[in-house]
Amino acid sequence: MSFPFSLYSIKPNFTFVASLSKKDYNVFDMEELLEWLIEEANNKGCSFVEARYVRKLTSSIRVQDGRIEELSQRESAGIGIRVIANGGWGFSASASLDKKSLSACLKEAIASAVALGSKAREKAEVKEMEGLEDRKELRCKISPQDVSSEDKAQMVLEWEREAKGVDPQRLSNTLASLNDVTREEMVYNSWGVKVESKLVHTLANVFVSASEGEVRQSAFERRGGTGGYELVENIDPEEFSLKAAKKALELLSASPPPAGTFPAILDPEVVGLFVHEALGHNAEADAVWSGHSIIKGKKGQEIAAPSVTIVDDATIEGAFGFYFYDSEGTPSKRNVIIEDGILLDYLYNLETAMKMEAMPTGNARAEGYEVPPVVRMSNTFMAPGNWTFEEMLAEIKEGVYLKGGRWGYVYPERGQFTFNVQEAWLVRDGELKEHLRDVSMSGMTLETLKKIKGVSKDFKLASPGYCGKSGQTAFVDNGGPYVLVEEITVGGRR
Amino acid sequence: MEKDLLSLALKAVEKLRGRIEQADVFVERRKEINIGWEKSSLKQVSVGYDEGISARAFHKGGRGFASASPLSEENINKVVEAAISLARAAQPDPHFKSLPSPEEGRKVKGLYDEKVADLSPQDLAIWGEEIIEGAKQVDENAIVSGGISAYSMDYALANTERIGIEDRRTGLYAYVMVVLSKSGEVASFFDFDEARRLKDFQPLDIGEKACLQAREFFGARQAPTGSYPVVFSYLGSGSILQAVASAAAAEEVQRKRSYLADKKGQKIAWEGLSVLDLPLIEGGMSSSSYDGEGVPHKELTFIEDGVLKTYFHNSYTAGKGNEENTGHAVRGSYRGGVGIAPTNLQIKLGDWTLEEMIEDMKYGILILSTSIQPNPVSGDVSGPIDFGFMVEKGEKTYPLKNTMLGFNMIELLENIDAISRDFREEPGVKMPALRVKNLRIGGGR
Repeated sequence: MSFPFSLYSIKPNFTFVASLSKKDYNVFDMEELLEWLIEEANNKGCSFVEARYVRKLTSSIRVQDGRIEELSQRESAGIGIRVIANGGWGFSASASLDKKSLSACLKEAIASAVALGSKAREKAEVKEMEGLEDRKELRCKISPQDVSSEDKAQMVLEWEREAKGVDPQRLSNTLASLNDVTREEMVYNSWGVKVESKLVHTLANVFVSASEGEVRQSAFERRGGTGGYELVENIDPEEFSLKAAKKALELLSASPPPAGTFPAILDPEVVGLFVHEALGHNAEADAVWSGHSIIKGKKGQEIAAPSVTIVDDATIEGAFGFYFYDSEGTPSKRNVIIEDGILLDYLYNLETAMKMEAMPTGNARAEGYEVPPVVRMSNTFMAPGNWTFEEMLAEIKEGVYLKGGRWGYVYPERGQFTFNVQEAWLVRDGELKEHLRDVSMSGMTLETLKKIKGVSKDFKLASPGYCGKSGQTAFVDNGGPYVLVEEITVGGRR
Repeated sequence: MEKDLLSLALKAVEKLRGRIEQADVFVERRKEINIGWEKSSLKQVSVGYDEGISARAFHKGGRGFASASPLSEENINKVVEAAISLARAAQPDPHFKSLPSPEEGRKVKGLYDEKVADLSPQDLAIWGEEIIEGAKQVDENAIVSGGISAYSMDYALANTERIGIEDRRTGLYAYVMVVLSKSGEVASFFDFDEARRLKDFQPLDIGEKACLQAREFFGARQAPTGSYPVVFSYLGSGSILQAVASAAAAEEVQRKRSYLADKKGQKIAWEGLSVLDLPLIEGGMSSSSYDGEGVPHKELTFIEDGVLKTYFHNSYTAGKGNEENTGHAVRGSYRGGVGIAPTNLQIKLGDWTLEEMIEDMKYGILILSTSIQPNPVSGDVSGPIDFGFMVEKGEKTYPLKNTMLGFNMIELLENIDAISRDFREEPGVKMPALRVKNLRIGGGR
């Protein structure tokens, strides 16, 4: 089995520019305002201050059951101010961008920090960075703002029509949507960091429900990345709308899964969910520092099978979790978490880097101006190995093949993860025998990492999506090769 | 900018009137304080101010939505123009009948508390310290994380059909997660408290309660694969109820995306199960006088003696289905659109106690808390038991790990055979325990 994508073939066509035009960006006032805030905070005795301006412009189109149902547009902008004073953290945010409002906002952040500092058992501190001034923009080939709502809507209508056309009788609901988000962020701090970046995220979805008698099933496909309209204007219907429709129809005749523990093959999407949920959240240094990670204290130890290498890489151009700078102004990096089964390092922000004597890895991300940055993943994947899918199948006497991630979550401190997949097959004597629907699997992270028996050559990083943590949503991508696991627990009805 | 939100909303509606068939405008101003703690130490305080406006415009039923912040003359004009042009670009929708017209609603008390609006970060920090301390008194090595939020918001809603309402609300929420370690093994549990009024907020013992419960999770094992009777404790039953209610949203039903489609008037559950939707409870977390489109709230029977009595409607789905608008439109904030959700769901209490259900069980499973996430289309559930115990001869024998549930929602509802008379109460909701005769459990070989 081969894949149309490889790690580097998903790059969209765009170019970077070294600097932004000040005219495009309209930053004169904002630069002055952010510098003024830093100076005010310094004068008031803060040991660290960060002022962050974020502006977001979102547009979306939703087509359902043959009709353009809603077009929407959302715009927000504001400044978040984070300080350390008296050994405590304080944060305040305002959508009003006049000096009076921001001054009140700063006062509130400082008062909170001072009050907290006197109570906190652990003093707030951050790794000192070198000053840095830079502006980066992801220049789209076709900016979403340059395409009319009508043209976008026609394209989304076409996706929905294609899906519905597969079987208008049995496809009870077809929904297609297109979302684009233009996000500008300016991060200024008291170490002399002044970075500005602008990114566009574009995402296309098709969601299909099918029914026949009492049986109802659904399936979806999603395409997207960092970049503009060029990412979605020529999507191959066979790999998108038609694929989702056919999958939902095929699931109508699939069986509920058996319950129990089985050897399993995970497809690249499910592996992506696994590395993100089961391992990635445990590798976030705030979880490690606060005692909520199952891999705390295991740096340098073998925690996975030798064939396992897991990476978080925010520098993959075009992937949905790509960015230039994180929300603390640290340049994005490729961070190897596990190499050949050995835990190399965690993902850090400025604070955890200081406390854990490490270097910031550029993983501090904030959804908007109104929330402080937290440690987050970006594009997380398992690196390819030497096996083929067929060799994996041949290893299984009785087991399951799990395909297409739907959702997942993890209790990092206990190391227990759960994923729900779009479809699965019962494998008997090396052959795909029975199509299964509505399958979830569960396992213990460290046990499962050790029980990985095979890692395939084929690789795919194309699961653009959103990750939730601390009430915030981050753009992320996940992926990997096919993986053969000795055992995994399946929740079934028979 | 004017302080009076209703005047702003009405002003925006006047700009829309005459240029588009129908429209509504939502304006909001909000303050939120959050404190967080990690590793048993207060970590961060944040204070945020937000304000914004959104408008929905309807052209031949096609919908345009726009939102912007902060509240400024420029942004109001921008939102009005964008909503109109987006609605015109959408396609006509014959199913759209009308936005609601004004009707007098009943005033619900206890949704806004000046004392909550006036809380300072320091007040929250003091509670936070007590919550941490409570856990530490049970186990001095407990690792405590969590946080407290307090918010106050003022909002106004107006539409072209002459609805013009304004209201305010406050909210408090505390959450704690306690992690314990012993000989390399980890056990954890959580707890929470929520309220609209200060007098209903009792968060100080949640650290202690979570820590006491976490201690019972050492020695977790996988249950053997098989079929078992299962008791869902208070939080577990809450998760089931949410899963059923979300499938009853008329939008999902009409689009055939719900396993409850075509089930209205039919028996979907054990005859002992009745559920009410109670939006007018004083101080209730999901209470309000009007829904998100300005329709007066009223009490409703959701499930009666096992029969599904109604779906939850907003103005669009009620018009499309030629049914009565049940007033279940919801708006999270000015940033989002209008969805459908139940209010305070109340299960009719039964005769058992949770303790009696456990004592009565020869060989089964007790679930304290788990996330029930059915495939909304099929109702099939395949998911883990997040926090549960094996029960043998009426006693908890060991905590569970890596153990999965597999069932269909209708199968679960029909197999309920007992409801408790004791419950966990949060403002507006009393959550009893439920017992299910037989469920398939995926565990060890």
